Amino acid sequence: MQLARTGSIAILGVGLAVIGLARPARATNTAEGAARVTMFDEPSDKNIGVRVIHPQADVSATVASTLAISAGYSADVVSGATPATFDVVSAATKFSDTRNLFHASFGFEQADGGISFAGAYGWENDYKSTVISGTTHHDLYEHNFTLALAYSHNFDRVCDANNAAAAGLPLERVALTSSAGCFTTNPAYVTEKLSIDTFEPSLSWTMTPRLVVQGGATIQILDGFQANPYRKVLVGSQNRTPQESLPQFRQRYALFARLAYAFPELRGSITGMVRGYDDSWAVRAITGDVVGTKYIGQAMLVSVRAHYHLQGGASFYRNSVDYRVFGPPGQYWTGDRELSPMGNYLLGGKLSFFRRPQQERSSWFAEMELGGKYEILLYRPESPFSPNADRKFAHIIQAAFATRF
Amino acid sequence: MHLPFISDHLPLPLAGEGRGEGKPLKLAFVLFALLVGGCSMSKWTVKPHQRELLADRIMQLDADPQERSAEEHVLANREGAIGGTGTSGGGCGCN
Repeated sequence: MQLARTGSIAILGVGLAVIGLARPARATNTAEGAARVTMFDEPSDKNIGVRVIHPQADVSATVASTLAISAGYSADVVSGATPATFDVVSAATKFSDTRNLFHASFGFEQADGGISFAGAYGWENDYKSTVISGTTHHDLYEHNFTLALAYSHNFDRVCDANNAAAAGLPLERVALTSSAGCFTTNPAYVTEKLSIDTFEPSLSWTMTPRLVVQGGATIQILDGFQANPYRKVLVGSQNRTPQESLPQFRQRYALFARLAYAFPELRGSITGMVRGYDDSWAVRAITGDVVGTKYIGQAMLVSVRAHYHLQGGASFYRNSVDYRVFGPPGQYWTGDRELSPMGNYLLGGKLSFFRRPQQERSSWFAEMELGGKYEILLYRPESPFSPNADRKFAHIIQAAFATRF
Repeated sequence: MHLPFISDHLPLPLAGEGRGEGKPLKLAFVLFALLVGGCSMSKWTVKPHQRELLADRIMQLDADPQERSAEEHVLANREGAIGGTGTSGGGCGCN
């Protein structure tokens, strides 16, 4: 199915996403329902590439002004072919899978602070994830500062081939070929654990009536099976293709700064983010993101976005030629693009339409929003022998609808 | 609408001015004065009646959690770094 790596990374993101979703519904609305569909289409030079359909549906409400509750569902319907570059021996294979995720949260909000808790459960053929998270925030100095702390823990389960016979011999490990026997009593399969702890403190400061800044840090500790169980890597000159081998532990750190600046003359704003990242696998990265937004008329909002990401490779990463010619630098090897030196560029735009009733008291809704977005993500691998080098770009198309009561 | 700019906080003359020797120091002083001046002008606080702009959705760092979740979902799968998504949209304190 080859989805596990996609799924595992996706679930890694769930913790942070749940942190975000754990925030109570906005005090200005008493209820909201929102639906969104995102299509991620990544063509390939050599096969059909990958397509992911990601529907989302969320509802949230504020009860008695202090209790905020929310629930939602999202899915990943994935189909495509495995990347060609590292699949030298087996040739690209087609796959498809569906990941489902339910999440819910509740929180208590007061005038100068709040606390909320959230839970999520996601599953697919070869991966299961349970996430719990908590977020607290407190306003200081007449609401000019907001100190926020968020924590999440993942209890994840990964399906793998039973490699007990290859214990201590990573070159003998075989890759998973199918998810058909995952999470059953079939002795050819085992279930590996992965725990993820994420802690994210941040401090926001309302500097002026038109400028808000935020600084923070993200600390994440992963302990468990982190490889793609399906992925084989061609290592050495004897055409051996063991399963991808990654360390058990990973510590990840990021420092970030964000801002929002208003241009009332233009009826617009700019929001931006810059982030520095380092981890115990020696992956270092810098990321920048900027979004310009502007009202057009009374019912339209247009925004443009630019995003840039540049990273170095993991200490044990080599490209496909070097793994074959020189062999791996130690007991670990990978074919993961996200562990290779590379860059990403993203450009796009979004258009939203609003409808607010003239006579609010006589309407059953306070606001409706319909939006569409297109973004293109351009990949810049280090060399033609980097993982997934057959995939140069991806289209991201999104449609969204929300009703606020 | 009240727009608190800080342009009336001008830097004082510095030693070496006119000979080009104090330019880095002057620049640092100007930046410091702009920063502190802006803060002191608002007496470190932005009053509730000054928050009209900040309350707008386009000024929220995390205006739409669902959209943010979808964006993070894509990028977390295509980049080797995490973090910076923010844990709380700060600043407004409108309630």
